[in-house]
Amino acid sequence: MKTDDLIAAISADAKSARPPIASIVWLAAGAGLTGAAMVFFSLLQVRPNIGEAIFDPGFLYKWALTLTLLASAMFLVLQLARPQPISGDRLLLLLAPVAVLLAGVAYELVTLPQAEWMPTMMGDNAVACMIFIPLISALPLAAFLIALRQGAPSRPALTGAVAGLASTGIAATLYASHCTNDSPLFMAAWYVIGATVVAATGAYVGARLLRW
Amino acid sequence: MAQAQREEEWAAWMRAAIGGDEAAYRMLLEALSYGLRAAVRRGFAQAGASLGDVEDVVQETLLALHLKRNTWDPSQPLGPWVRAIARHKLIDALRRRGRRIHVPIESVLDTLAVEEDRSGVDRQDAERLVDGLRGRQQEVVRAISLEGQSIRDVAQRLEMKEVAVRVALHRGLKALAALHKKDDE
Repeated sequence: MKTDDLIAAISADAKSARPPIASIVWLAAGAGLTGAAMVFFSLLQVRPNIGEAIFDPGFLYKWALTLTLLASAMFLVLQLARPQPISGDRLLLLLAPVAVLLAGVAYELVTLPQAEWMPTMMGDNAVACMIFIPLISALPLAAFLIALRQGAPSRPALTGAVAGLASTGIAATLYASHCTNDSPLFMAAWYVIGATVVAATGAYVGARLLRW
Repeated sequence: MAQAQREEEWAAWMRAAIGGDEAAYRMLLEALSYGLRAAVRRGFAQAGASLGDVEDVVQETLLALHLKRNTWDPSQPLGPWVRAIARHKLIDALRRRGRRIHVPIESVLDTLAVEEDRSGVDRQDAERLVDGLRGRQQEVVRAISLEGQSIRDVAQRLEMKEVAVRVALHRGLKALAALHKKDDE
């Protein structure tokens, strides 16, 4: 086939244009949030004292952290979905949730006596946290990966990993409203493990699914 | 024509194409194919790959530009987006041919807009790729590409609805892009 013949076929297919990739990714975020909420409410419930908690800085800190993660990962996913190379400085945006986490940990280390550091970090529901965060992340991650197949990421594994972080942001925001442990030290240990598992899954699947 | 001006014209054509303007789309793809051909040829030459496959990569890149056109932001210039897709496909093609890429690919693609290579090149292998398409998809792609028929003509001849012809064409092009990848592996 001559290239001109192929061009004839492609141009005849002009009307097949899909919605812009950004719309598709936002749609996936909405669908993922809905799915995550359904999983969350079918397995867990919001903690009973949520009415007081939402005025408590300790509780609000958790949402500040999870929403910073969600916002920075979402911003990057929207760029990674396009073929143009993304500049390294943009990736530094992921340091924003890390900074929020480290600030919280530093505050706790200063205010808590040393003897309480370890028990605080271990908490009493670490295993639940480690299981539920990846579990609630599963549907959002699937939605993001399906959407990103419509994109043209030049770095499929990285794109999948960051989609995993955005999914963790959604899941951890929901889970934080259930979990009664508001300690940054606890989050630094167990939420981070959950985020790592989901990001690694995203990278693994992304490297295979997002090639084009 | 200056490169910036040319890229502006391309972006206008692409916006029209996304709106369904087939004639603008055709002009754009033709204009892009000249630069792509020159860029891929130089990339292959620098990497020491056989030039016989150049047209294959040009066609694969055109298909990717088509199938991924929703990743271009119409408020942005078109050139960097085209270069990113071309770069991805060129690197991919060289890797699949076992070439290590030690040439800065950017330098090859920099002048995408300036170089023109209008040599009409036939690609026998692509014929084989079309043969790999199934049933209706193959009939429709063949009729529209090789025989230059319009969608309406094909619909009448094959006694299909126009919308079914469009669907078969789109699926056929997607399948063709997939076959390109498979063919080299």
